[in-house]
Amino acid sequence: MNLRSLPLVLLVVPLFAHDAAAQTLVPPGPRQGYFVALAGGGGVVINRDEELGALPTWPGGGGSLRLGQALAPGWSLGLFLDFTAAGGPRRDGIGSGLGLEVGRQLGEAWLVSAGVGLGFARLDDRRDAEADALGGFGTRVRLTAQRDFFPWTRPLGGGLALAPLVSVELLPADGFAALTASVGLQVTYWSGLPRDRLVLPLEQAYDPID
Amino acid sequence: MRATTLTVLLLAAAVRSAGAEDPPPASEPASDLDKLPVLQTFVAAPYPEQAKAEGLEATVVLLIDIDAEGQVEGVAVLEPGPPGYGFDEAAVAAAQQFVFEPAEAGGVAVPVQLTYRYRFILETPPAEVAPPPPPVENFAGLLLERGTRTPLPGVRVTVFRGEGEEARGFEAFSDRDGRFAFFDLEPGAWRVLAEPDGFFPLRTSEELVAGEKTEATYFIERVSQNPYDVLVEAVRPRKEVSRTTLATREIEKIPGAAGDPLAVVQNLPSVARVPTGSGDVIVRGSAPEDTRIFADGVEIPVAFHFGGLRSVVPAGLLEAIDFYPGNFSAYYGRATGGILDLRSVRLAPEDLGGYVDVSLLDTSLFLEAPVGPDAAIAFGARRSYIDGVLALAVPDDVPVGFVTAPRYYDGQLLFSWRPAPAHSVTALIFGSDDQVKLAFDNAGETNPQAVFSRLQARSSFYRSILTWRYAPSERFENELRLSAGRNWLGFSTNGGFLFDLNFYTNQTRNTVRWQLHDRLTLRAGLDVFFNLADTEIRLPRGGSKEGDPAAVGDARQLFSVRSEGELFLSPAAFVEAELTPGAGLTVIPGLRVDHFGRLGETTLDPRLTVRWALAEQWTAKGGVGLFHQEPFFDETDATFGNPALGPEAAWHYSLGAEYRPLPFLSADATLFYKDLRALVSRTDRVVERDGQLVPLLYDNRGRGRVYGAELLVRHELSRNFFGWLSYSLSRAERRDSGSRSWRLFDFDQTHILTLLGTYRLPENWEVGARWRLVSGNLTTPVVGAVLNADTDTYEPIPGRVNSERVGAFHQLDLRVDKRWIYESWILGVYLDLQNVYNRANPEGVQYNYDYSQSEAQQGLPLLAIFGLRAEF
Repeated sequence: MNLRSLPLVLLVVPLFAHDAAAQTLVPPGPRQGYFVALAGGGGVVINRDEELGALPTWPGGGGSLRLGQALAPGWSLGLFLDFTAAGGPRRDGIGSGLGLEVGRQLGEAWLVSAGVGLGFARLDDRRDAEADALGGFGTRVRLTAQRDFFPWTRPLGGGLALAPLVSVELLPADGFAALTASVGLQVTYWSGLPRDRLVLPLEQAYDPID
Repeated sequence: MRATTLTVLLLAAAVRSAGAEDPPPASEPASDLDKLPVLQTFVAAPYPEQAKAEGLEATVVLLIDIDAEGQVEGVAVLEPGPPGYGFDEAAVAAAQQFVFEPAEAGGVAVPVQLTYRYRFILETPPAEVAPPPPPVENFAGLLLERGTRTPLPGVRVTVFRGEGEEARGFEAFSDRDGRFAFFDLEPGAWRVLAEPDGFFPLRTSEELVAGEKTEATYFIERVSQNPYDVLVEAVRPRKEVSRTTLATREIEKIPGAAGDPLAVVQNLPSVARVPTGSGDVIVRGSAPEDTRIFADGVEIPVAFHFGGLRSVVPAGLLEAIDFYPGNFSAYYGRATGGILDLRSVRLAPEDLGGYVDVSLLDTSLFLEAPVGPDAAIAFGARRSYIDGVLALAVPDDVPVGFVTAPRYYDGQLLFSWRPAPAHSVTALIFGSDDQVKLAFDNAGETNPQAVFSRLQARSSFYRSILTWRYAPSERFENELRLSAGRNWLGFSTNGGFLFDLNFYTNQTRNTVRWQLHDRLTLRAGLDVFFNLADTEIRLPRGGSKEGDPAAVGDARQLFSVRSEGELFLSPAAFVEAELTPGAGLTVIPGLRVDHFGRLGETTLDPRLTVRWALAEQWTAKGGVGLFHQEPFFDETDATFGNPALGPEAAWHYSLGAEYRPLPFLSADATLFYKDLRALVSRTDRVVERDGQLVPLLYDNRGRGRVYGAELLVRHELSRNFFGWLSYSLSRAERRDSGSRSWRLFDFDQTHILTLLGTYRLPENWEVGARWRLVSGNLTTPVVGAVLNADTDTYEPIPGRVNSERVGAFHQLDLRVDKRWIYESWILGVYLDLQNVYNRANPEGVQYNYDYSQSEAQQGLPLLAIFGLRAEF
């Protein structure tokens, strides 16, 4: 049954911007919605083999792809995929990891993240013809800290962020361990939130006519 | 009386052909009067017929004398009406009957004379009043929940435009179908607002065009999308000492289960951990075959596909799982361990819906749709592709080739119909098929005892179950279940081994529940099980049974059995009474009679359960009962076993308490003891059979005892959290035939601790974790080996059976789920990380060719399982 429209005796327009669902709505901000982040940098790789002990430190570089979403204010959750390449002439080292990552905002600009997943590392030193390749597969732990700058924010939230970051990846595999420490730069795109999630003035709160 | 004409009042009256109306007074006040006369009784003059016929109207002016009491003393005609029609006479006659409220002068009533204009007016039919034009519906809409397309009824929808004094707005409410409408809205732009509780607000704009109707469908997103939010279920009252019900939607996202609800049973107290790859359910120290699996009360042969990764019934078809680790009702029989009953879903779709689930293991499809107002149908199917995954994952140097890698299918068809309120009919057809073919390279190196290099195995079954439930009142209910199906289990090797069991099985159940009194309810029923078996076996005699340190028998000496059309009828009847004498006490005595056709024996199982609600939050409970079951099929075969074996028996004793401090939080602690009698056990004895001495192979002289304590602290889905802590402390022992000493049961696990929980985060994320700590598996050490010159292989010399344990098992699993809510469907993605810290858990011990060296067999390493699911 369709109900006939009823004239409103009183229409308090300003209240529409503070509706009953207001507790679920948030003001627009830069770290909102989904994010995709690409990072690159350089650092060192430290390895330890159960039989050979500590191995020489190798310089290297790497990058990461991170996908996720901001959850409650100050928290984010997502996946990381990172890779590391290290070595030099006639020696190669590679490593990679895939896992889950939790991010925590500290203040307005700082963000720290911790992730866990699976990964591998492999070292091949061809300078020693008799040496076998070393490496392992196992749990990969990743910690990062970054300082975000938001040169391109948008009125409805989201935008691009640039961040210098420091990251540490640890792979404590069976019989082999690899530790990578690096610094780099990350570019993050935040999608922002749809209008129905945001506290907005009346003139912005409603989807425009198609 | 002094007649004083002080003034002239002119009153007018009108007479209509159909009657008179009150005359509208018109007056000219006289200057000396304090109060004018007021006409109290008006008399209508009859309209002259001829004038009426001619349509003639007239006015007669009268002079009326009124006395001090308001009575008319005299009437004279001052101005006559048209002559010859009788207007004057009619007016005078009527005026003489008038009564007035007298005039007053100086506060005293006085007589007066007044003029009165009497009008004769023809009544004309009332003019036709044009009805107002009907309201025009020019803006209508439909409110649906985003993702599920569920209509949103009773939601206020507001349209408004302008601001301040210019503001105009209207509101309407959506009906039961989620529809709303507005009428006669002015053309132009309007803002539309709806904000149902628990949903994000709808805030959009519409442009209305004059003369056109605008229609819109709005999908509004729930703040936290979860189907469980809208599922309202009555909680079944508990009657058993131990029953755990797992609602499918509650548990399908538990870490480590890869989305399979049935796998979650492995996390309950009293259930032993089994190695990955085993689908066994080992309950309170009972052998796997002692626990029966039911689907809607009908027995099915297996719960899981190969490897135990997936249950044979998919999540979409399961409403809940009822798990009874012991002291179960007389409704269930033929089992001495536990009961696992899979309850099929109650179909109630409003529209076509379902899901597609794709993971690294398999892909499944489930569809459901209404069929008219009283019926619904559902269909499900699943196909694994582990074969393809293994082909990629297994290195080339592994000496096992998959001719047909493990693969499984299953399918389901469910139809439900409710022709009348008291009647419901359900038809369920489902089946499963598993197959594997292996080829071993250098089989002798892999297993010193190996006698074949190729193996193929297949396991399949189907069931068709027709259920008619008749419940004319709350006090009476009858449920009839007719089931027919087939079990097929077989394997063969290139060494001549053959095992082919083909069962056509029928099970008929009729159960009556009758509440005779407020304090007494009876439940009784028949449970008739019928098997028609075709068998072909060609195997060494012996095999591997619980408690065997190694396979028994000479693999080179094969024995053959072939039979067709063997009939086994196993009827049973049960009755139980539910007594509630008051003070929170519930007593359920029961009795079950089973006849085991294969054994030719009849058993009588008395059972008793008591629950006592001591306080609002506390319940004490206890139970004792006798349970019987048949030996395994081969154990009663004349060639491979002992046909004189009788049924195995178990007495279950349990005592416990439940504490529910909060509606969503409960704790359940149970002490239990199981006395296992007449267990089938290997024996070296020989008997004379058909005039020949033959090995007896098995007898019923085995004994067993299991005792322990279980704790389950459970937080049901509330405040976005669901989880439990379960802990079992137990000891399971066996005493084999001819032995005086007790040994540990193969799957004895002293400590089993499971902590698990899932938490629903904002934005439709869900995270979960499970951590398990379990005592290590038992092993029988090999204390030496002798070379068999005939086979040129070493044969182990076992030490004390199950006298050593490998290291403890502990493992952490994580799972994260994310759902994207689209207008008419939902996409879910999950990542299940198993063994997150990559613990090398020992599952057993493996030896080299001469048993001089050993190493631990390790369980699965860190494993990531990824899957996605589309619901519509």
